[in-house]
Amino acid sequence: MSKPKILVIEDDNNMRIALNMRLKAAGYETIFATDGLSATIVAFKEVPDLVLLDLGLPAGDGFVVMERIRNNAKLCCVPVIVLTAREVRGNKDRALAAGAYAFFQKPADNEALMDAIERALKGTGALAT
Amino acid sequence: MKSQCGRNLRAELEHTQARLAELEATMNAIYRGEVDALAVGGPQGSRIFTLQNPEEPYRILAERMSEGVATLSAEGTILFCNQRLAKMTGLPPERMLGAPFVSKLCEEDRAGFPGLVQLALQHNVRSEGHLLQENESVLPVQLSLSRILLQESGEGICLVATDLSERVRAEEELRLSRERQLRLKDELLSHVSHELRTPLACIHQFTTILLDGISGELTADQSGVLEIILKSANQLRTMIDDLLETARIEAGKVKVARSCVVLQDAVREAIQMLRGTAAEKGIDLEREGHSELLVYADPRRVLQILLNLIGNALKFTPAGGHVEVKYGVAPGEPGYALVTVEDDGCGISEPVQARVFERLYQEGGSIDQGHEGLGLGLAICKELVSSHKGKIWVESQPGKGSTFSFTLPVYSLERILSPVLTENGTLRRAVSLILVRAVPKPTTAAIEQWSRTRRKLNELLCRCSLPDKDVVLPSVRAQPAGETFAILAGTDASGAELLAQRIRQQMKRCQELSENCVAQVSSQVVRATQELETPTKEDVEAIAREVACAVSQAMNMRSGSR
Repeated sequence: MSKPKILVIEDDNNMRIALNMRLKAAGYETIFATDGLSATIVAFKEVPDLVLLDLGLPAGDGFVVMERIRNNAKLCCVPVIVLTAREVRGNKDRALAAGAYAFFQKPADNEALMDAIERALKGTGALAT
Repeated sequence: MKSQCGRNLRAELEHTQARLAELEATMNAIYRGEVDALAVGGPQGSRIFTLQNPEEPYRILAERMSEGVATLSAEGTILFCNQRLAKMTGLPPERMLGAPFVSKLCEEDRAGFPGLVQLALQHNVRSEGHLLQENESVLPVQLSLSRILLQESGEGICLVATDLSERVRAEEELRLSRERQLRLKDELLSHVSHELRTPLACIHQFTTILLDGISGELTADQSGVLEIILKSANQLRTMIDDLLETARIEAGKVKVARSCVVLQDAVREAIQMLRGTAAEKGIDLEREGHSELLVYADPRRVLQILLNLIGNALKFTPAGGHVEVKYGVAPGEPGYALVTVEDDGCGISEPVQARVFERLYQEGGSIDQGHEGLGLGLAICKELVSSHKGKIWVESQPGKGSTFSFTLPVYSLERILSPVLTENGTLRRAVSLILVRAVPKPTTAAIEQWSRTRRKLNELLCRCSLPDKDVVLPSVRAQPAGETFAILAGTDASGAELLAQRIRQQMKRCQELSENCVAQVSSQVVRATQELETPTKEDVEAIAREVACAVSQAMNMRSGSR
């Protein structure tokens, strides 16, 4: 089985670098998008196994991106994990209701985050159980 | 000549004194109301002043006043009313006269008015009320009543009505503006917290990347430095959380997600998290209590309260000190659990004890005391405890130590069922039970490690369940070892089986669990509820009792049919 491909949608440069290092170290392939608009295009083109989504994005809020992913036949089953600096209150419930697999607030507990990613990938069969 | 002059002068003086005495007597008579009219001689002859209407100037004054004024009989009938009062009610003054004043008040204020009049006959009284206006609306007024003497009928009441609508409007405006400001502050703080979290997340992420050895091996020294960075980043994070939490509390937006919490586990977890800090300072950190005690609370909040109180105790206890956490049923209050955090630190003086739960209060009033933090922790604790319907307090002797205590309601099955039973006010279609019967493997290691294993299993179950839909119930202990865990899920048979499947998979994946225990996971529907669009509180309570009964039966049956 090839490496699961994770689309990281994150507008903060440093955070992108950090997530890239961590995800690569855990054995995942990473692709990136830095704003809402390109995120949707990359997602449609690449069809990742999982999306790690920041909510506060230029050119389209994270919720808009999530809706587009959910409404696309090719992408509707791709698990979306939200990783945001926004408040838990309000956003978490909204994200889960919109179909997010999990919600993490920055700075997130890495162990829990990596665990959720692994679980989500095993759930869709992108990772062997 | 001289003596002539002296006599004349003396006569003049006596005359003047007599006139003065007469005048004084007249004045007194006028004051007493004994004189009806006064004839005054002057250069143009005598003039008569009638005094029958001595209040005339006051009437003019009353007419010109911006307050409503009325004279009432002791029975409350309007004998006189000024233009302003008539205007306040919207009636012409002639329709006011002779009417009982009470009829001009709005319905709710009427019953109390006769009592007010009776009181006013003894001393001046003030009260707020509402005048009924012609157009059916009401006018908020302040009523001042005082006793006066009326010529015709003895006692009466002078009533002054002050229009409060301006004040009420101003108060309403003030309230709205305060709400607006609170909201703005909340938005500002959310924004600030977001802006602070972004760089903090980077620091946190890169530090852990280095610590986890992702970018290469580290020397012990390097790891030590990184640990300090990580600790500081975590401290900063706590402060941001505190700041936001306080803003939220002020805006009345704190939410608690209650479930069943094993108090001992919460205390153990808090102590585990602070063990390092205690060891660094050389402080003895211990716990003692009733191991089976369950509370109905938000586990995150309980941990937050404990971390705060224990953290404080560690902060204010010198090296070599002792901190102990005790928990048990509150004496005299069987429905509540009592947790105390006792230290033998510097203690808190009495005036300070009264203020420690205030926001931003720090002993000495200064932040430069070598203790980090924002002074928000105890204020947050107080809010959190009271949102769980508990109490928090402190007892202390300066120099000897402090004891912080708080209470939380004890768990009962019915109490926790409502999130499982309802969703946004409507009943869920079904409630299911997922039972996990776990027994340690027959190896010495597995049996010895059982308490660790069961904690691990409980954590796993909590991770698998959805916070708003499922409730992990406390385990039922069975002899000799092994126990039944249960998750109550707001879902039907297929949903419950999916959850059971997820638990089986997770357990298989966890090395520690698969090495140390054998588990059977099963699911069953305990109640298929009929559709009730808007169940009343009583409906939910009745169903909760029913489900609680079914659940305890199912769990007993399980652990009994081993």
